[in-house]
Amino acid sequence: MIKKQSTALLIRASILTGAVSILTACGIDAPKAEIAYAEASIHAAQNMEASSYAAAELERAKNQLKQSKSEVKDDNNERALRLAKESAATAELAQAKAENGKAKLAESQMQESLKIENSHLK
Amino acid sequence: MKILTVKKLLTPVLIATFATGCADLQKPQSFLDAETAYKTAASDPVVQKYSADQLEKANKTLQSSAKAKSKEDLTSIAYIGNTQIDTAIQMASAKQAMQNSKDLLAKQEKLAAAAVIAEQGQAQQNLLAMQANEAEREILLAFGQIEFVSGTSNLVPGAAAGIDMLAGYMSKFKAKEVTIAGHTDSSGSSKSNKKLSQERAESIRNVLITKGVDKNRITAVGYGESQPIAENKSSAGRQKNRRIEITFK
Repeated sequence: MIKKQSTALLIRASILTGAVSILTACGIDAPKAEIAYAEASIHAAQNMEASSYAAAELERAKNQLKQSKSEVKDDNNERALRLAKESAATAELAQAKAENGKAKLAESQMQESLKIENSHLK
Repeated sequence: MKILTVKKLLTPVLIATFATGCADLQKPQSFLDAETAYKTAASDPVVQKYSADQLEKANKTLQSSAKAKSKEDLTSIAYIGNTQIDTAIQMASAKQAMQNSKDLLAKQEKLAAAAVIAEQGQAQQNLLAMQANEAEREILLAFGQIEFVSGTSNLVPGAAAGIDMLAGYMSKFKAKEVTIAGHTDSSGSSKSNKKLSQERAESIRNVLITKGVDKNRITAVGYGESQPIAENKSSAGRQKNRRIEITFK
């Protein structure tokens, strides 16, 4: 009798725990797509010479990605998802900073060249 | 009894779970900062012009806070939104710099083209000056041979070649002016010589006018015997003194 009661108790507890898990959304899958996207964004930033123009952002994006992967291992997929998204956003910022740095450099070189040409004409 | 205990324990957990999902979460400072940053960026005309799409992306991220289930979610959304706003600003700045470079390049090309034109203009002027010098030498040479019927201002036949050359020159080089100076030898009175030299210079001036040269560009002067270039004692010297001199300016 006691055994039957214990089994019933366990079943009910399991059902309730499952319900709690669903309601709190703790059971999401590992954010593989988001991690892959963050990796691709970091790769793109590196190709754009972000290490020269946005070293801090590039490093932060890498760390966020690393932490995201680590959270996946610990089954903290919610945290992993947040970090993967943050990593991608940071990598995109690194790309934009690299692009801006290069564009500004080109502009200043153009200004310098124009200045030289002007002085030749005078 | 035991079931009741478990139910008693789990009921508050369930309530708490629902409460967490639905509660109006208090926005962390980082989220409020992101909202302010968004407003600032959205009012920047450069960002509006060059990275409206990226700004909209940031806006959607911030709006997704309505679905946030936890403070961690809100903090993460704030971070991503803020980063996307920074990205929008950087992208706008990059595109502005690219546009500036394009404008500078156009300016440089314009300058280079103007320099080429100026060089070509200078070369053309140099060429014209050379041509003018050459023409002037030929005219002076021709006028060195010019002769009048003795004691008159009538040109001997065939003497018109130099005048034709001078008319052609004056027509080509519109800015040029010419002075025609008549000189005689010392035969006869100085008064009559001055008159004769003036008439000879005038006769050439008149021919030029009939050929279309503006009269204001031609000055005729008669110096008579006052400016000899050779002795008047010999016939050769007197011949040298009977002359027409042309000056260009």
